[in-house]
Amino acid sequence: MPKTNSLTTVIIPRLLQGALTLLIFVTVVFVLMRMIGGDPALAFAAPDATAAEIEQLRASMGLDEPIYVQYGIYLRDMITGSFGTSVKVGRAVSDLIWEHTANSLKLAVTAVLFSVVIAIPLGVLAASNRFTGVDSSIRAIAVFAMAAPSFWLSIVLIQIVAVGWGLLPVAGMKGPASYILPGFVLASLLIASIVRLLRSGMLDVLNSEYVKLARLKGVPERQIIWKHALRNAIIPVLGFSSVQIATFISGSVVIEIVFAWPGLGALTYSALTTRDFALIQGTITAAVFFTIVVNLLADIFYSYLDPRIRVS
Amino acid sequence: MEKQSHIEVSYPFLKRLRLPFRGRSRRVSVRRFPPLFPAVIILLAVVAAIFGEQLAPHSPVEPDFLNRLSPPVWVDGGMWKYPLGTDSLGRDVLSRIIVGSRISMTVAVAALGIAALVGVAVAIATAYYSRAWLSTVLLRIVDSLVPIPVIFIGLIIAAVYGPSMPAVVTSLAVIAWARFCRGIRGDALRIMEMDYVAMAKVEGCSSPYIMVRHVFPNLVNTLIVLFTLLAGWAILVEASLSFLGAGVPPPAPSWGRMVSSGQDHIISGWWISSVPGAAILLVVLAFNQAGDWLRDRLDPNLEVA
Repeated sequence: MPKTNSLTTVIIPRLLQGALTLLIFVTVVFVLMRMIGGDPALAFAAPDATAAEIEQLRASMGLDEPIYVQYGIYLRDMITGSFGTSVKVGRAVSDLIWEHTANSLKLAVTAVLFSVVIAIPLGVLAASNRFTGVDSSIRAIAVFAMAAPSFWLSIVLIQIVAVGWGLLPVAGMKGPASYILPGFVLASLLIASIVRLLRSGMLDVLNSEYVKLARLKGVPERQIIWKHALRNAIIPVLGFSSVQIATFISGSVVIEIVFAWPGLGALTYSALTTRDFALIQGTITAAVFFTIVVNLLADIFYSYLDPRIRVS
Repeated sequence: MEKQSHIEVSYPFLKRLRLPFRGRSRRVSVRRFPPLFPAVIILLAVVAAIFGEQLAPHSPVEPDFLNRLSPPVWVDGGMWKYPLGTDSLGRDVLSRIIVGSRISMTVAVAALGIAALVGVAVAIATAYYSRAWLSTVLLRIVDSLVPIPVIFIGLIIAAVYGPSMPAVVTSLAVIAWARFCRGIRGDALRIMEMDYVAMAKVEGCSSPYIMVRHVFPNLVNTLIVLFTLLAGWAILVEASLSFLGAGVPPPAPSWGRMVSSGQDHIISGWWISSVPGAAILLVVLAFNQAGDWLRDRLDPNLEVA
């Protein structure tokens, strides 16, 4: 393999691709937002706004200018993060986004911890007991977790663990116990895919020549599994899972609503129900921006872990 | 993210031979008949979607105020009149699930139908005219669309136009065509290298004729696999949007909104959200399993974006 410069072959193309994704999305949002029935200035203004305030908003959105100037103004606002003011909450949209993103981030970090702590032992257990009852039940759980809608899983867990057994808080963000249920639901999809990937990766490694050699040498089975096999099988799994983490941002919308979690997803939802267009535009743009950034970081991390990707 | 799992051998006569990259073992033998469980569930869902009103024991929208919050039949106080219980207005949960299947199925088929049409057309055209600048632009757009979460597109369209069936279908189709295109393009490129395509060109067949008659038929297997695998995803997205109030509006019963309406009755009526949620789970599970089986049968090398 020729020596490749990771900056030019990995980072720059992916940065450009990410920027293009964002540009396409923002443009779609622009087109949609200008198609709101009636006057966009009226839709973005507070219901009790005076004629002068609406006129001012119209000027700042450039609605009297030709459409390409409006697009330019809009792009400039999106790049600088000035999403305007939320008329229903009465505060700058960017401030609201930062506050709520911090809460979403806490939930996402919890979910990442959960997925690592739960999925790796399960994957190893399934591979080291393959074709037994342990293996098939772990695989069955993973298959179910891939298909379960997260809002349903949340409600069922609330019913059983929080209401039925009274072990954990039903909703809200109060204390460490309240992180467990939403964190687990957010992690469930990632857990399922890590288990499946790790199991097949471990099986590949356990069939390899060097594991056979280790067995011939009389290395204890426990050491073969946790040292030889896991260390080699985990690398592609970690890379792939880091890409999956980007789905946490869209996945958390539903979960935050069920658990009344004050995050970015819940903010988006409340903006939607109050038809607060400046806030909708801001939160959704921010969410897609974060998705793309996480994707980008994960992609770079992945290609660093698995050099084969750098070439293709 | 495409994982490279095969080395293409560069000798021309060995072009189609794919060597396993590192002893990656797929299931050794693939079952010839479809697994029973997914087949039955999908069949039930399709029948319910077509004949919903005729099959449902009660009306899905008429309330029965005398029997509100009646539990399922296996719980104390349940009655055979309402086997899966009633919701807070006294509407039969079973009937609503049966009739609600139509929304999930229609959205999945319509959105994926449109997306498959566009995605396949773009995949074939960009493979055929792989040197054209337009192909490069289109492929960049495809790569840009794949990572955008559909939920956000759905929410924003619902915010602007109001929630409706066409809004859900559009938001799914806008992203799904890129996934079809990505899934199919590899095969399309491979088929373009085939001798019979070169022969057809020599014989003077027109480009549209070659694309439709020689390239497309060889992509049908992959298309079927992708369609099935994406159906589970589409149903899940539709349910999430309905749950968020951005799906098909009432009074039509959709599974996602049934789950959300049960949220207010977590203690007094657990079945109102759990039972429709279980229906979503079963149908998505069935499509995923069927898709896996079809992939193993028809196209073992496919990686879904």
